[in-house]
Amino acid sequence: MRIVAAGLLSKGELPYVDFWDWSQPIVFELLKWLTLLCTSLASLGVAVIPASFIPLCIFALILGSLLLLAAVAGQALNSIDSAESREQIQDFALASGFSLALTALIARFDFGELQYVLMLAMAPWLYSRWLAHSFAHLQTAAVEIKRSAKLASRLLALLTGCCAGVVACFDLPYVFVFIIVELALVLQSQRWRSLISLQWLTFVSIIALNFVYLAALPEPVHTAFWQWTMPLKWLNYSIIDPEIVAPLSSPNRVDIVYCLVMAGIIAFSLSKKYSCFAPLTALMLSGLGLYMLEGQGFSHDFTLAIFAVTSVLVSAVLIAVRQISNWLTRRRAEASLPARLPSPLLVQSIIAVLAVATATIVWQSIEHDRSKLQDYLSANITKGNLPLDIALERTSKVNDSVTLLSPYIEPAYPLLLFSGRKPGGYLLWSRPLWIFKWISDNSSFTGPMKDFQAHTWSNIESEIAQHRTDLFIASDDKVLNTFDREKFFRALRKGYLEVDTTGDYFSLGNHQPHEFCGSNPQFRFFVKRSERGQ
Amino acid sequence: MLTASVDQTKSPKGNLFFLLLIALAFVILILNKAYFWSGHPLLTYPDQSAYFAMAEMITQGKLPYIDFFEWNPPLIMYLNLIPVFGSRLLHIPAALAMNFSVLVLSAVSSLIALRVAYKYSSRQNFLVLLPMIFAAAYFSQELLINSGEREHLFVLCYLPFFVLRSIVWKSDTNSEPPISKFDALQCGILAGIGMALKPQFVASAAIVELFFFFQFRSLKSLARPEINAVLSVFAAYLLCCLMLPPAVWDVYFHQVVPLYLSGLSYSSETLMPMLRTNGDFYIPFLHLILTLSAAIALSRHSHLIAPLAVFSLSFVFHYIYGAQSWPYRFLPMTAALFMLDGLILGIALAGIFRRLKQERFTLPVLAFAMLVVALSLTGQVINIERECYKGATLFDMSPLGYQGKCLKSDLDPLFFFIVDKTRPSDSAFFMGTGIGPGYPAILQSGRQQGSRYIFCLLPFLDYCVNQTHAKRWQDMSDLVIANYGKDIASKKPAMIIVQKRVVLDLLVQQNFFLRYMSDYEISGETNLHEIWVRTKK
Repeated sequence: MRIVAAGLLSKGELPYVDFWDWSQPIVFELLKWLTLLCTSLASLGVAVIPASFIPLCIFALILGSLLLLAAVAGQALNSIDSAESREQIQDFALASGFSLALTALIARFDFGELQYVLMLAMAPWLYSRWLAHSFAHLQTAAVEIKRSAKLASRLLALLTGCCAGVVACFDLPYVFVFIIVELALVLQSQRWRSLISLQWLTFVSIIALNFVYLAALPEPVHTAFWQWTMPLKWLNYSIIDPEIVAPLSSPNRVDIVYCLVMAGIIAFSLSKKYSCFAPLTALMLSGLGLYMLEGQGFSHDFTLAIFAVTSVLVSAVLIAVRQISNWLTRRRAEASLPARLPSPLLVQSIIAVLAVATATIVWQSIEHDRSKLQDYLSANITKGNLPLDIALERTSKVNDSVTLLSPYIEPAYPLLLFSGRKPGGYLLWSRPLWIFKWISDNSSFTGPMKDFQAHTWSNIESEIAQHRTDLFIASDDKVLNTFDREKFFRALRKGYLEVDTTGDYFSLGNHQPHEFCGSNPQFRFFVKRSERGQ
Repeated sequence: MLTASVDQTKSPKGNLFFLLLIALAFVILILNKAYFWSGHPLLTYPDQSAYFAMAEMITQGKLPYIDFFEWNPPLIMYLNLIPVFGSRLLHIPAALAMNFSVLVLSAVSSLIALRVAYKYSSRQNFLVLLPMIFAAAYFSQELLINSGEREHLFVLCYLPFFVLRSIVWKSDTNSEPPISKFDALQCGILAGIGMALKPQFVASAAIVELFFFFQFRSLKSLARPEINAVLSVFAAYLLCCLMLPPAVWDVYFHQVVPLYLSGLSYSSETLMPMLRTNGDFYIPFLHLILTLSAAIALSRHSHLIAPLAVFSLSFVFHYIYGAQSWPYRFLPMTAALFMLDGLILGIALAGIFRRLKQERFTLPVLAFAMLVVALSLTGQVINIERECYKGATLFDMSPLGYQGKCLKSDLDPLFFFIVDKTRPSDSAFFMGTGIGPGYPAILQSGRQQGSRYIFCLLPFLDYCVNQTHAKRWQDMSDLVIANYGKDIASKKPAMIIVQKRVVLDLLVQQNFFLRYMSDYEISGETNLHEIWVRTKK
């Protein structure tokens, strides 16, 4: 959806005013620049399109995050002498890196989501903050630090701080994640001075700059953002869909909670001796908080928690391996027949093989989920029930503009992107309609929210009246009750014909790759009458 | 500031005046709750009132699972004999007897925990344990809807044991004075009773012991009188269960347990509503996020932090695994979080005064803080009660055989149907997917339970039939219908309350009204229920 938004931005459309999604302006700005870069590359003869270029950039971010992590670890190892400290630094770097890669794989269906990118920025940030709190005193006390090393250290601090600061601006609650993690580190280390760092300065500066940028947004974007979109987002945090009470009405990711509990228990058992578990646990719990705040139960809301859980478990395994290796080394040195004991290298090799096996199993399970869904789709097609993509193919063609009213993003995207359909409506997804319905049932429309509702409705009205959209796809009539339902359908039927074709967003047990929240009704298709020769 | 330090040798705990202030704070908490319950003599809630009703039926010679259906283990029913006899002895309403019984348990729990902490821990440790115990007592007093649930009882029973074990584990390595067998046994017996209420309680207690073991690595601490007492309670419970007739266990293992395992999914929910339906859910989980984040950072400063944290996490597991949005199931999680808060506060306070070299102020500050909290809570309760009673409609309890009045708002609307249309010696029963509002209404009205089924099993059986198409569930469904028929024929309940949603449709499908309720007619209804009264005597 954000790639589609990027395309609209590059055409000069204003976010929140000409099209609506509630991503932060910084997200749109970054996407706009990436699209421009893509266009520039395309003009230079490089065969790229935004649909592939932006995911490629995300992939580059994954590599960048891993490299940054490695650079920070390398720089720390160069400046610390203590063997035990070096072991800890190395192990946590390895754990963070492997966990990052593994989580990137586990959350593959959520590739490029905001929490996914948050995770990429958080990994090197958390690692470097842990170093600052746990080993800064060793660094300054020990080796004479070369000027180049100092410069490298400052550069890395700037980079991690900058990335973290930018990503913290991606969504309202993200900055609190950084604060909670830092508080956990401070409480543990008791080193308040560690807050006075180039990293934090950069982080705070970026946040401040972003705030200035938001305050200086030009009208009408300023009003649409501050008075419409942000209050709506805030309200969304405080309400929950009553329909998600029934079984299977929201994704049931209890598996993550079980892993979280297990990771928490492991973290508490090791936290006295190993300082990395405090910030990881704080991160894990913050991830749980983000999941609860979003209130819809989607797996992508758990990405950060998954990363933290994976980091805890991997760190624990590495600690165990280290302990076993050290023990074996000592025993072999003492033993009369050392060959009877396994070599530490053997143990490490076994763990490495297990790590690869784990990654393979995760990959296979994702493929298994995908193929199970495909089978389910095929079975339904045989019964005459069409999935959304086939229904879309039958009722529209490439480059047609399509308005898909759905209270959650998943049915519409990436379908519209990969099918070559253009977004036809103001709302890229229709969560605001659902919230408007909640307001009309539980409160009343006043002030800016009334203006927003009027703006949204007038956009939908004009889309219908001016036939700006070639195909209207709507689910869940209850959402449409926000407006004068009779008026809406009267207007719609003037210019559009409801066809017999209906489409389903098929979901197998509300598992990935197709998740939904609340109800998952059929989608009705309304084709422009001129398309049908009527 | 908060450097981990070795316990000092035991020294006097402090000025007696401040210790008395602390005791006063605890007493105020208890009296505050006593004052509240006295003003609400009929206020109780579904589960608690159902267990009381089961205990009453046991005193009438009835057997669990055979003469009345329940799908939980029997201990809670037998424990409710205490308030049943208390109610009869003191001639007070059942609800009041139950609530005061829990209050007495709460007082006993705090008293034993404080006594153990005072007698056996060092001064430094005592100052850290004190706010932890106070936080647990405060948590208990704040409970209303879930007061008296099994999880609450478990927390109260387990608290002194936890305090004792924390001292035992630590003292074993530091050669502290020995703990008296009496104190060990009383903590063990109380904890054993609490743990025996549900099997998962044992698992959580075991994980706490495991964490203590990880920290202190002493097997001696496992071979102790309080552990033996816990195991003895389990053995005694098992023995008592075996003394029940075999028919009881036949029904339990062949009907109750299979239905529980298969049928409870009928009401199961996904993860998000379990975490966030309303403030009763998300506030405790927000508490979890904040407290555990602080706790892990401070885990080096006390050997109690990790065990309490994993205790809390274990109940997150139990709650999520149960797949029901029942907030009482994570009560022990919240209790542990309160205890952690108290512990962290104690550590922080002790650390601050130690750094300022003013350790002598720790106890006075704690004492005054506790007193202020207890008094402010009491002040709140008094104000709320005044507002509640101002202009409120009262119900005269004399038709129920009791003196005094209570707030009408404490009573479910079904209560008034029952009292208006039945006599005190009549029976009634409720056919709904849950226990409430049939209970507490039937208990509040003093009527007898008119059927072996306190809640209707048919929706759960219908669910099993639809899911598995197994004949056993259809057979059981037919048996339940037949049993309802037998109960109506033999007990002739004066009133039958039928839930409209789901249950009514299932009964109509079975021609239940034609077959068994020809002597009844609809006397009234609410939005959710039909009220049937017996016309033929």
